[in-house]
Amino acid sequence: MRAYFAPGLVFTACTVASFLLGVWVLIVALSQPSLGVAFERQGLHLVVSDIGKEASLPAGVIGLRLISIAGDNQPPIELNADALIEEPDMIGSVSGLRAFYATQEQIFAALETGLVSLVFSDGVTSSALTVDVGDTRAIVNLPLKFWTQLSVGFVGLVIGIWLVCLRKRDMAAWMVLLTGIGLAMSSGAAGLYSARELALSYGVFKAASHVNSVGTFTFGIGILTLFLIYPRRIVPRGLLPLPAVLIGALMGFIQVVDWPRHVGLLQDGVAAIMVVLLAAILCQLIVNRRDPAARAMLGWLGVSVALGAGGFVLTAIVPTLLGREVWLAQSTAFLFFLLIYAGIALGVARYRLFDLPTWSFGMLFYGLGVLLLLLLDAALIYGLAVERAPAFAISLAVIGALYLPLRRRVAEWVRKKDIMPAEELYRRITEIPHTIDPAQKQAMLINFWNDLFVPLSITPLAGASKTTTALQNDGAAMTIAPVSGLPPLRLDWAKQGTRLFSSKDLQRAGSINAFIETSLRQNQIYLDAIETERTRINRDLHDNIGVLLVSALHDGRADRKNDLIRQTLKDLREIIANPHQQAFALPGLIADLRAEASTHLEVADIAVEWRYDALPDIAVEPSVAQTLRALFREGTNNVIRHSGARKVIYALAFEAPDLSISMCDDGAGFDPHHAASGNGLGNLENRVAHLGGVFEIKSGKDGTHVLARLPLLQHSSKVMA
Amino acid sequence: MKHILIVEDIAEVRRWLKDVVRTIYHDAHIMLADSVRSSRRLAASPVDLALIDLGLPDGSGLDVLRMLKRENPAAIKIVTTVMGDDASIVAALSAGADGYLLKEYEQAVLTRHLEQLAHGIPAISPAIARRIMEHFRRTGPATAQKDNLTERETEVLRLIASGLRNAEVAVDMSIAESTVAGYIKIIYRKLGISSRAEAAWHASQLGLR
Repeated sequence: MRAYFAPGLVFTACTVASFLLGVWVLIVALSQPSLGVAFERQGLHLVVSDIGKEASLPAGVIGLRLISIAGDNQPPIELNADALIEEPDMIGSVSGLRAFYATQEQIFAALETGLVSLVFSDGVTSSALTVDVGDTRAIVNLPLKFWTQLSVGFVGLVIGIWLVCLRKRDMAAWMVLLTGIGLAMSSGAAGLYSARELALSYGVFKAASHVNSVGTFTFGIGILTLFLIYPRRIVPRGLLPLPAVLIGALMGFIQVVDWPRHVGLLQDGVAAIMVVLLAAILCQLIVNRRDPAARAMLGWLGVSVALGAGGFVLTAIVPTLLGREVWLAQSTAFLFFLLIYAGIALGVARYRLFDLPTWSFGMLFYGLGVLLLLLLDAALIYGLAVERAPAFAISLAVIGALYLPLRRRVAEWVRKKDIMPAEELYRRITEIPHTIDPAQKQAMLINFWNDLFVPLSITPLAGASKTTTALQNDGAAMTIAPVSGLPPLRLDWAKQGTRLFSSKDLQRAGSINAFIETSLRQNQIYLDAIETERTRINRDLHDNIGVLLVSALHDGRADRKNDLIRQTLKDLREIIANPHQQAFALPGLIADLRAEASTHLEVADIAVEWRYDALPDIAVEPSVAQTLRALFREGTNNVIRHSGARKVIYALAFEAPDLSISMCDDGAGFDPHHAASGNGLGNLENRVAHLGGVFEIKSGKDGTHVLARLPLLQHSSKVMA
Repeated sequence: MKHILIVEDIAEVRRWLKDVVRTIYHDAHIMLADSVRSSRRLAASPVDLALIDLGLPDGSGLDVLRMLKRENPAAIKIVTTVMGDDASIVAALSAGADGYLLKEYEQAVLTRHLEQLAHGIPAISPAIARRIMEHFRRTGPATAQKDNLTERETEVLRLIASGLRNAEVAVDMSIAESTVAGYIKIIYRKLGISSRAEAAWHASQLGLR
C-alpha cells in the first residue's frame, strides 16, 4: 500500500527543514572566534566602526584604523580593506585570490590563539593593544546583511517547495524549486562569509564559496530551463537538458580544476546565462503573443525574473566584469531575488500562474503559521533557559497569563474554525434546492462542500453517476455520491491539503449528502405538486370554463346566456377555491346547493320545503358534483321560470350506493317530450345516464316531479374522516 | 339611507349597482368612486351605506373598508366581489364588513340581499359559515374566552353551514329571525377580534392577513 502524504504536511515539513538549515548556517556564523568589533572599509583602510558590549576593547578605538593583528607569540599580519572583501570571486586575478585566502587563513589562525595584539593608527600615531578573542560571536554582532541574505534564501526555497507540493507532476514547478535551492545555497553561503567579522578559516571559506557558486549555477540551470518550458515549451524536448549540461560542465570545471584558478569565469558564466535567459523570455513573449493568459503570466514571471536576476547581475556582476567598483554590495543585491519570488506569488494570486488558484495561499500561510508556532515555543524555551530558576514561578505565571492564550490565538488563526454550526449547515443545505438554475445549484453545492471540508480542490465527476460516497487512495480524496441530477464530486485533500479524509469525515459527508438528497427530492415533490395543480387548473379551465363560455357565445337567448355566464363564474370560483382538488363532501355540497336554490326561490316568492335526514359524510367525485349542481340549478330554474308553482318540495335520500333526488312542484306542468330540449333538462338525462344513474320527469296539470338517482359510491369509495 | 357610497372600478358594474341602489332608495345621494384613492375623500364625508369592491386598481377594498370603519363607524359596509372566494370574504368580514354580495347575482337576488343587509339582516353562505367555524375551531384555545363563540352562536353557524336560511334557522332554534341576525352580527364581530388575536399561521391559512 502506497503511503499518501497530504501536500500541506509535506510543505510544512520542508518549510521547517529549510528553517533548520538556516539555523544551522546561523550556528556556523556564531561559532567563529570574534573580537566583538564591527569593521568597515574606508578607502584602502580597515576602520573600526562599532564595538559590541562584550568586546574587551576600549571605546576610544572607534574610528581608528586597524593596521595589523598578531596571534599569541606569532608575527603580526598587515591588514587593509581587502580583508573585508564581500565576494572573493570578484577579485580579478588568480594570484590576488590565492593571496586573499592565504591572508584570511593567517588572520583566522591569529584569532584562534585566543589572545591577539592589535595595532591601531589614526593616520599619524600608532597604538598597540592586546585583547582576548571570544570563542564565539554574539548574535547581536551579526550584521544586517547576514539576515537579509539568509531570509532571501529561505523565501526562495519556501516558495519553490510550495509550488512543487501543489504541482508534483509539473516540471516548471520543479524548476522553480531548483532556482529556490540554488538561491538558498548561493545566498546562504554568501551570507555566511560576507558577514564575517574579519576572517574565516580556509576550510569554511572554501566550502562556503563552493556552495555559493554551485548555488549560483544551479539557479541558472533552473531559471533557464523554466523559461524553455514555461508557459510553453520552445525547444525540442531533447534540448531541455542542455542548460543543465552546459552550465553544469562550466560549474564542475570551475569547482574542480585547480580551484580557485578559474573562479573568474563565474561572472562571465552568469552574464552569459542572463543574456540567454532574456532571449528565452523574449522568445516566450513572441510565441505566446496570441495567448492573453500566457502573456499575463509572462508579465508577472518574466518581468520579475528580468528585474530580479537582471538587477542582481547589473549591480553586482556587470561592474566587476567592467573592472569597476560594484554599484551595490552583493549582499544587498541579493534582495533583488525577492522580486522573483514575489512575482511568482502575485502571479499565482492574479492569473493562476502554474494553474494554481488562490486557495493555494491557504497552504502557504498554514505552513508559515506552523513555523511561527514553533518559533514561539523556541523563544519561550530560550527565554526560560536564560531566566533560570529564581524567576521560574514568574515565568510559569507569564506562560499561563500571556503565552498560552497568545499561542492559542496563533493556533486558531492558523487552523481557522472548521466546525460549521448546525443552523448554518441547515440554511446552506436548504437553500440549494431553492435555486432554479442547475449550474448555480451545482456551484452552491460545491461551495458548501468547500466550506465544510476546505479541501484543496473539488472536481465534478461528470459521467460517473455510479460514484458512491467513499474514501479514495486511503483518504487522499473523498468522492461524494451524486444527488438528484447533480453530478458526483471529488474532494481532494482535506483542510487545505493539511490532512487526509478520515472515516469520520466519510460518515459526516454520507449523512449530510443524504440530507441534501432528501431536501432536493422534497423540493422536487413540491415542484411536481405545483405542476400537477397547474395542470388541473388548465384542464378545468379548458373543460368547464371554455365549454360554458362557448355555449354562452352561441346561445341566442339572453336569459340562457346570462345563466351560462353566471355558471361560468361559479365554476371559476370552484376551480380556484378548491386548490387541492379535494373531493366534495356530500353534506357541504348539498348545503351549498340548498342555500342557492332557497335564495332564488325566496326571491321568486315560491315556498320551499326540504326533506332529508342527516347525509353521510361521503366524498363526491368532481364529475358527480358537477352533475348534482346542474340538476339542482336546472330543476330550480325550471320551477321559477316555467312552472308557475307556489311551492316546491326537495327530498333527498341516500341508500348506498345511490343518492336519490326528488323535486316536486305544484305548478302547471308541461309535456316533457316537447319542452325538454329548451329548458335545459334534456342535457341532464344524458349526464345522469353517463354516470350510471336514472333520470325521470313526470309532469301533469297538478305539478312536475323530477326524479334522479345517482350512484355515489362506485365513483367514490372513500369515506371522508 | 341618505348617503350611499359605491366603490367599483368596472364602469358597467358601477352603473348597474347604482341603478339597483336607486330602485331601492329613490332619493339617496349616491357617491361613486373607482379606486382606493378616489374613495378616500368620500369616506370622510357622511356615509350610511357603502358597497365596496375588493379588487381595486390601486389597492384592496379592505383599505376602504377600514377607512370607513374609522370615519363612519355607523355606516353599513357591504363588500361586493366577483370571485367571492371564501378567504377574501372572511377577510372582509373580519375587517368589519357587515355583509357581502356577489356581483354575479341576478338583479332580483341582489336587490333582495341588499335590502336585507341595509336593514341589518346579514347573510352567510354555507361555505363561508363552514370556513368561519373552521377558523374558530382552530383559534379557539389561543384566544380569550369572551372571543370564542357561545353554544348558540355555534349552533346558528352550524345550521347555516348545512344550507338553512336565516328564517329556517330561526324556526329550527325556536327563536326570532332578528335574533338569528343578531347572532350573525356577533359572530362577525368576534371574527374580527379573533383574527387580530390569532396566530399568524392560521391567519395566512384563512387569508386573514
